[in-house]
Amino acid sequence: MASTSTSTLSRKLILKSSDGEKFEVDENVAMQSQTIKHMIEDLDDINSPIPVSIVTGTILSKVIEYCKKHATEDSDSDEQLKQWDKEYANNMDLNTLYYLLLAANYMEIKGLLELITQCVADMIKGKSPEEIRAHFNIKNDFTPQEEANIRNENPWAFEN
Amino acid sequence: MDDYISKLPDDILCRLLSLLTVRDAIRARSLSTRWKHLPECRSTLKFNYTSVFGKRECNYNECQNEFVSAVNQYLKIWAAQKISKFKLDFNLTKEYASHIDGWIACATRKRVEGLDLNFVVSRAGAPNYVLSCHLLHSEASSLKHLRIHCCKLSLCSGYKSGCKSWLTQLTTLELICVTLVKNDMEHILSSCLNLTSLTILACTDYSGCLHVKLPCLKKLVILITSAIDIDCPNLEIFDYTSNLSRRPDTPMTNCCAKVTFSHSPCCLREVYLQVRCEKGGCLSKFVDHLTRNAPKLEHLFLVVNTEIKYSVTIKHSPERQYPDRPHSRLKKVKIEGYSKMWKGMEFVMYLLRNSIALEQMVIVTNDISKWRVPLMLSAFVASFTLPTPVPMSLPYCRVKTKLEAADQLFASWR
Repeated sequence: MASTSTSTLSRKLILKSSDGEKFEVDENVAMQSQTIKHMIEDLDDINSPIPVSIVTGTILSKVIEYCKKHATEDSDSDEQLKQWDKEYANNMDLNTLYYLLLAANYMEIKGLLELITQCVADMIKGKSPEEIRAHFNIKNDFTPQEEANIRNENPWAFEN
Repeated sequence: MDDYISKLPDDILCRLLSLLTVRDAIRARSLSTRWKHLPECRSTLKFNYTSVFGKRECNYNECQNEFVSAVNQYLKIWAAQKISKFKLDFNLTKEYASHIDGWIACATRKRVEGLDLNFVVSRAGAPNYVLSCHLLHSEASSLKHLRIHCCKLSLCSGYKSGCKSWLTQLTTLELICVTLVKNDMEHILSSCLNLTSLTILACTDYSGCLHVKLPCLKKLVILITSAIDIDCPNLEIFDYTSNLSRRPDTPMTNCCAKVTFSHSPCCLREVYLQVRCEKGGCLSKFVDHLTRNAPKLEHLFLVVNTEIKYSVTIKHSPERQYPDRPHSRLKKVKIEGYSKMWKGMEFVMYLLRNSIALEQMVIVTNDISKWRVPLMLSAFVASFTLPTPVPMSLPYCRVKTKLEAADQLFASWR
């Protein structure tokens, strides 16, 4: 029985990104994704690669980096883990953050989704609409009248 | 660079908006048509100075009108079906009652689970807001946590009793600086049958005795001058502060004699007591009684406020005052404002002798006249006999004092 439990612990899975890149990961790392967890349950042969259809290899490697860190629970204190999360998120450019959000949402990795959403929310916090548009390159497609109407709905939010 | 963020699916963007303050979320609506059409459906509503005014500087006492209209305007576009928490934190008085009533009624309709209302300190002379409890009553009430700060509470005694049924669903109740009539308090203390945590701080005081009879209660935090009788068999944490007023007309009463347990506190794990001390050692007796009847007690934290400088020589031997009875669970004891006044020495000795699981004892003194205390304590520690069987780890006694000189004296005395 002992040998069976050891082999379950070290069971490997192969994840295949949308652009065909393959990653071998421990099962407990991959299981942090609810989507993959459900896929494994339906899988007959765990040795065949699991397709993660909408995520590219570059992004998938970042996702795996996060999952690996969070799969080993006891090694770090909560404080250390938070610090690691912070640095992890701060090292991403907007483009990567966007694809990571999509990947975390698709793969259902709650912690990663919360981390990146909070990171983007922090970029919006306290900024004026003009500053937010400049930061994220958002195009203002309102007519002047439409924009005035929105401001008049809640004028308190726009006074500085 | 492309506009990536606007391409995100609605649910991610809504999640993003709900992490912002209401002010920032409203501003985000003016970014583009994409953002304007996102539903504003956060399930936690927080209205306070920062969430409404941001970094704007305005006089806290002069912007109530603006605050109230901001909340009203926000609620018009807010579209959630259900709300988990409604938190209000602003200096609002009775003159805004119709608006506040409306917000609370709205939260109740949307089956709010946590209601946290802090009206801060009202302007001098301005009457407090009166929270009428019929606002909290609904057929499908899901209110579990209620926290009220700085207002009056009216349990609508004129209404039929069904109006109070929401009380039985509460699991957490915090009343801080709340004025209510006596019968209402008694009613709350006997009706909230599912309450697990109760906090009553600086609320109206009564001359009579308050009976707290709550079968599920696990945590009780109380600051009150009147006597209380506790009948809570499942109580685990007890935090009691007696009236600490230093007004000369306040009589010095036996604060500890006012607390009685009609049910043995057999589940009690942590006790925090902040009391005034008076002559006669009633505190020691009270704590002694408590520790004996609470076999699961692990943490004991005492803060004693002494008013009279009083010097006595300890004459009684501790053995005579406190017969031995091993206490197997007590792990941590902290005593602040240590004084001979309340015959604490005997009590400390009693604990040291009998608490075989004791890991740490901290005694904090900050008065120059008390430097002798650690010295005398060390005399007892050196001579006391260990209970049998001898515990594996000796009690660890740490004496903390602001007087560095005491350490030297301590060493030279030994």
